[in-house]
Amino acid sequence: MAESETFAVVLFSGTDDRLQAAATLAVGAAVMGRPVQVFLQYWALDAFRADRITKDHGVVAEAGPDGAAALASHNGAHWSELFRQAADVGEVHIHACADSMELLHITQHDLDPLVEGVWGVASFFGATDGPVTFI
Amino acid sequence: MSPVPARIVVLGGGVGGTLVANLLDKSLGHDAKVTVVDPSGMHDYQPGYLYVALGEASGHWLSRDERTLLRRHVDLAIEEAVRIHPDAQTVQLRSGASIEWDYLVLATGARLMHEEVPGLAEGAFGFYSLPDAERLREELRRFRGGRLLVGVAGIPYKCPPAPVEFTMMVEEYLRKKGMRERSEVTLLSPLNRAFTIESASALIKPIMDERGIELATFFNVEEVDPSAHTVTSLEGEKREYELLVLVPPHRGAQVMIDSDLGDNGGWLPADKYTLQVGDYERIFALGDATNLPISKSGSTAHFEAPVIASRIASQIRGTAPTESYGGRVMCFLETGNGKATALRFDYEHPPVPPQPNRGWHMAKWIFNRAYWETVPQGRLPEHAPGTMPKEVAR
Amino acid sequence: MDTTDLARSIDARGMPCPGPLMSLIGAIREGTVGDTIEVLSSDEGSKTDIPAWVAKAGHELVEVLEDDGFSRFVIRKAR
Repeated sequence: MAESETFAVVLFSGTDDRLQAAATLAVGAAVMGRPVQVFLQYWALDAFRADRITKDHGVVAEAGPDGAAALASHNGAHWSELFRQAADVGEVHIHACADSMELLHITQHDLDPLVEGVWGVASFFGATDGPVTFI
Repeated sequence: MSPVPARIVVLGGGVGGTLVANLLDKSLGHDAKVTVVDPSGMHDYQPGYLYVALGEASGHWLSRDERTLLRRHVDLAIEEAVRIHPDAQTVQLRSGASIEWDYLVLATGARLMHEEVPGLAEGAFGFYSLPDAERLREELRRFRGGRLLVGVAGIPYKCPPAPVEFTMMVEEYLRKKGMRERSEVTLLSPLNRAFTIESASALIKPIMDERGIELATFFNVEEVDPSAHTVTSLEGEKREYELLVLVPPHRGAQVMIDSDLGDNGGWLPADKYTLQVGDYERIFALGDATNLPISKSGSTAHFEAPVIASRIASQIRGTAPTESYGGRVMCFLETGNGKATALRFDYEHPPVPPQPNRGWHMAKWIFNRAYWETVPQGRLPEHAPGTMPKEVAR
Repeated sequence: MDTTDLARSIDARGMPCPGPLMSLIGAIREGTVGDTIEVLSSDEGSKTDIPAWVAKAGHELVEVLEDDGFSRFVIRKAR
């Protein structure tokens, strides 16, 4: 059979549309047997705060009112639930970027348990030597 | 080590046959000549029929030319095998030609035998073939309410989750069509619970109760009366229906019966670890064709194929075999309303199905669409789809 | 017990799906009246499930033997 290539994602964006897209990709990669490594930076990291993870993070400007309404009315799981379920489907790891933690004054204690630890950039690249997707 | 390429014949071009042929060719190259023999030359993705029946998918993406799924160096003979001669190491084909083999892989699957249950063909609908699924789809469109029964008319059958999935999803279908108030949905289970796997049954039963889906237990369909609209079980119970959906009886391929290789049902006796057939060192079987009391599921064939490919390669190279089949199976189980659970287990580890959720429904949806480019060609990593749950991973 | 007259022996140990009971039902359906069928099961539930179905379907539970980590059921197809 084939070797499995890690699906490595730097998740930078903190809007619900991009987070939903990232979670869907994580489920897909997981079911196809690819280990998933998510590295949270900046506004994505902020969205993973325990006290606001399921709150409204808005959508990008290009979504417009129709796009925003479409996302709001779609009867799917919240992206945080999808990430949790993806971790049962396959191998999914989510780490917070240490620099972003410092910038935004976030401690591990503030984060949802989905975030399994804090990594520097070097550790993230240690976990994958393949392509990196930036969302 | 053979200087002449070893001749490997694979009967059946379904998921098991295609994958084992590709893996053998990949690992042996010019040390082997692999030939797949298939009567139709078409490869069908059967898990899609459920969705066709419910009007959620079209049949056209469910069938592909087998030639496009096989590696270039693998031959494809579009022929029907009519007799296997284990000692002479040949297979006789319907055309009259004979094909010689050094190693034989039997991946001939299961046939649907609607005619074995009186009244079934005239009185019941189904979704185990594309024509059946399309007929059922049309009947569901016409359905104006009443008693909708889903049951099993023969054992063993492919895909134990399927009747449960259909029941859960058709209940949702009726709600969406505004027909639910006028209907009663009943699952006729052959067992004393909703599903074969007890832990999954325990998850499913409360969902059925919540949705008002009735569970009839120990109901093994024995006959159908199309004019009286009744279905009778071998346990002596009779029920009336307005729409009856049944899993038909299954049998192994006729060639296995005619060759005296299969048992009563035409199923091949295979070793649960080595997948060798009877005492034949050079004959292997996988997938639906075996008589192993394991799931008849595409995933079973998918996980068995690398074992057979490895064991044949070992024989050809004169080395000790390193792979055995550990009983790994992976099945999705839809529960309706956009949710599904997963059944992952092997001989050593019982399944621990998660509470049905949208993530697993999405995973099934993605896997179904990724199938054509990945599974038959052996492009998935060995543990996929998904992984074994962390708590039982070795 | 003399097992030489067995029409079928099903080793369903470690095989939760379709499971020992389902496999037994299949063997009974495919078999002939008078056939003696043996099922080996490591599943605890079989100890109640198998006798319950055998009784309901009108067959004969010839014997149940406990072995090391599994049970051995012998059933005769009576009708």
